[in-house]
This record gives sequence, structure tokens and C-alpha cells, in this order.
Amino acid sequence: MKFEYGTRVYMIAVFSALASLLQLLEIFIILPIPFVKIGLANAIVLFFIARNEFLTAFCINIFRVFIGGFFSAKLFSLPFIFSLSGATLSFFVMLILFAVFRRTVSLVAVSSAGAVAFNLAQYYLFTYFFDSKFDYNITVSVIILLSLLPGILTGVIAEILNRQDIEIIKKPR
Amino acid sequence: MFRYGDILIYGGLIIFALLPFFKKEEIKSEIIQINFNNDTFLCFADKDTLIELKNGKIIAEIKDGKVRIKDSDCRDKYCVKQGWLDAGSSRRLICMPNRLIIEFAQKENNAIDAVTE
Repeated sequence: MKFEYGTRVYMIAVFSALASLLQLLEIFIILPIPFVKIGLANAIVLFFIARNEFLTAFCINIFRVFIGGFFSAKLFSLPFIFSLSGATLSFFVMLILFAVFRRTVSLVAVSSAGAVAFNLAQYYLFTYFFDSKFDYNITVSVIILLSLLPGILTGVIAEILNRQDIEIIKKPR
Repeated sequence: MFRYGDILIYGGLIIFALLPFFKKEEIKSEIIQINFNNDTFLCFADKDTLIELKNGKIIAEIKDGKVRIKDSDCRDKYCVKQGWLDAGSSRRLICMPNRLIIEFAQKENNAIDAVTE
């Protein structure tokens, strides 16, 4: 088994490394709005979703949470569980939106929906662990509006990546 | 960057974000627990009433699911200055000289108190 450029294993390994690196480097970027992070790693996942490599995208999404959690020293802690569940939910939301609407939606909208799903999953889990009741109130709308901004930013990056002419999976000869 | 299907997604998200503003606040019927001189009374918070203790020298008022100590005969009146206690709050209204504690009866929950990273 050769790990050449273009095989699925190679792509998962390289891009989950890149995604977790981006996720770790994001800690140093300070935004003027509190509680907001950009989520650059999501751009890579979106890029693979846009190229119909759903399995690769899912593996990258899960691995980057594990590797990022390991290097930021919160592996298997409560924030890690929030992060893992948010990543999983946002992946499936983006996958379903992209698979259902396909040519009629842009990656920017899919990305912002994924960001909203990520943050709402985290908020739901937070209320489950600390408050023990999920209330549909103004907090939810604040979360949605705050997560639209980084979602759109990530979507624009993914769209720019997607316009490059990169051949990601080589067809078997 | 923009396609026509996007309007659907953004519209859905914005509707989701705006719905809580149009939701009516409903008053939940909670139970107020009053501790006075080592005695415990319970009363429902959904009726607007005045509760008189100590022959009317202490008056507690329940209104719109909130509760406050309206008047008291103690010296500094810290209990009156604490103001309204919102529904479901975990704060307490305390009048030390009269040995009075008013609080919302807490349901048992919160298996985890706090988490450090």
C-alpha cells in the first residue's frame, strides 16, 4: 500500500494535519467581538464537501477535533465533547444542505448554516450540563447572528479554494 | 459567491433568529418558600397576593411571578432594598433581624457545579 499524493489516506492525513494546525493557530487571532472564532479548519472540510469527497471531509472533521484537542490539552474534557458534537452536527447539516440543493446554493450559505449548527449544538450541550433546560430565547438569536459572521468568512475562503483548479483525488489508472 | 438558493438558507436562519422576539413570555407557576422563625411556608407564585407576617409588620408582595419584601419593621431595611426576586432565580431575600428567608423552591438538578479546563 503506497501513500502517494492523491490517494484518500494521503489526503486525510495531510489535510487533517493542516486543519488541526489552522485550528490551533486560530487561538492567537484575537477578534474584536467576544466568543467568536473564525473556524478556518471548516474551510478545508467545506472544500472537500464541494468536491464530493464526503468520507474524506468527515474524517478530516473528526480527526482535527481530536488532534486539536490533544494539543490544546483538553482531550476528552467537557469543552472537547462540546467541540466534537458541534463538529459532527455541523458536518451533517452542511452535507445535507449541499447534497439536497447542490447547484443552487453557494458555499457561503452552507458554511454559515454549518457555523450556526456548530454553535447551537454547543449551546444545547452547555444548557444540558449546567442549566438542565434548553430555553428557546434571545440567547439563541444572539448566537445565530454572531455565528453568521465567521460562517460567511469561512465560506468565502472555501469558495476561493474551490475555484482553484486542484485535482484532489487521482483516478486509478 | 451567491446563488439563488442562498436566500432560502439565510431566510431560514434569520427567521430562526427573530422568532424569540415574538414569543410571549409566559409566567411559570413556581413555588415560593418562606422561612420565618424556623417555620416553613410554601405558596404559589402565580397569584398576586400580599403576605403578612408578624401581625402585619412584615409584608411580602407577590406580583407577576416575582416576589419582594414590601415593608418590614427592621432597622436598616436591607431586605426591602433587595428589590424584586425574578421567577426561577436562585437568589434569596433575607431579613436577618426577623429571621426571614424568601426563596424559590429549587428543583433538584445540576449534577455538575463547575468545570475547569
